Amino acid sequence: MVGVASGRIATVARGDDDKEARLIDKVARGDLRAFEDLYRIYHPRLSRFLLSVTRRPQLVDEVLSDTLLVVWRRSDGFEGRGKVSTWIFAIAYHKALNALRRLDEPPEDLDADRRESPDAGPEQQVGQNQVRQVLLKAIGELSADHRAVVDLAYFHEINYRDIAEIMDCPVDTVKTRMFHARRHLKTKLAGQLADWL
Amino acid sequence: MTGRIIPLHGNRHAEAHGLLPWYVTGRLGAAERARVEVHLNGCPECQADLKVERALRATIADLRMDVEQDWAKLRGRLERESPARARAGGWRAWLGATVPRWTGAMRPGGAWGATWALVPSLGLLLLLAGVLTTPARPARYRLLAAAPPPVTGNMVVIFRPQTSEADLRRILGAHHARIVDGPTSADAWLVQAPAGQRAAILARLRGEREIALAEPVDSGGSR
Repeated sequence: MVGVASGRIATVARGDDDKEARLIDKVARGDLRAFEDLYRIYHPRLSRFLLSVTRRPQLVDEVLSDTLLVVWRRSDGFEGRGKVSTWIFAIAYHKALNALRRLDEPPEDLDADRRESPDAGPEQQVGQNQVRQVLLKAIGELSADHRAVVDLAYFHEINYRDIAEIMDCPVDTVKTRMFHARRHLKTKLAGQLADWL
Repeated sequence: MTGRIIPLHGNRHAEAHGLLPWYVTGRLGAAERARVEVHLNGCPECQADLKVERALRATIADLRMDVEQDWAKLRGRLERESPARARAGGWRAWLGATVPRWTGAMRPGGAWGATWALVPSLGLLLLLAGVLTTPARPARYRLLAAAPPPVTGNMVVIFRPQTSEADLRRILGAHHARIVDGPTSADAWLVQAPAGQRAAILARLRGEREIALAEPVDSGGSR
């Protein structure tokens, strides 16, 4: 079952890669409509990724715009050897790290407004909310590098080789970061697993 | 938390365990996937971890974003920056191919619908139109517009998304401009200003808070 599902995912991904490569080619020729298409594809993906990496909502808009402006300005330098998605995420990742370096403020507690009182609803919902609270808090305790790997792997479903390219590090470093991130998350969730699974 | 790299080679359990996140997302190659599955069959620890991985993946994947609002912001930024790119030469060839189509379709009875559909990039195109409509490149629409009645617009206006219809009418009326066609898929309106007053009206329209873009669409002959 997994094999069939992953085969379908791979086919869809290849189709997306081809479509995005064609868009980039048009963008390199100054086609704003193609850029708008690319923007609409990447806005939600990058927003999510940048929020996950930076944990600072006030940075997301700025870094996202800067990232896509680089795509617009340097699209003619995209050599087509890799995937468009890898190239764009790499730009976003490095811009996010640069933005974080310029900041001294602690990250916001992004999940404060999502937290509910333990007695706010049915027992089942309370259990799920508690798990979610613990998980989100645990993700917030990870470093930006670890959060990037977690988000790229679990949410964006990017393979570890492409993550290594995005983060400009060896493949084993990606696996190691994921190992530590998972261990941290599972440790924090240790008391919640029965409700969660 | 440490950044120490853990050697993952030479240990099937460590390898399979390390690959579980990409196994659950279907992002492993066939050979790696097969190795993980073989290991999973005989490893209760990894089987239990697989459940955790799937729950992690499902829980982490949840966030909504406002694309439309942010695209409007970035589009404005591009439009402000576009003249520099035009001077660099990157736009000239593209616009050289596009503007004649645009201006040709502006004649009375011209193919407005088809042309609008071609240019969601209208804002940039219009900002840069001045680069192309040089004396060496006569504006074709002026010849075509000689046919009566001359109902062509001479500027394009994009209102901010939150602008009400009442405000739209109020602003145009206050500046003695009237809508000739639109809106396009990019929410742009073709507007006609009285001959000889276009430059002044454009300047005033640009000062309106509700207007994101106001640009001439010819070589300036009707200023």
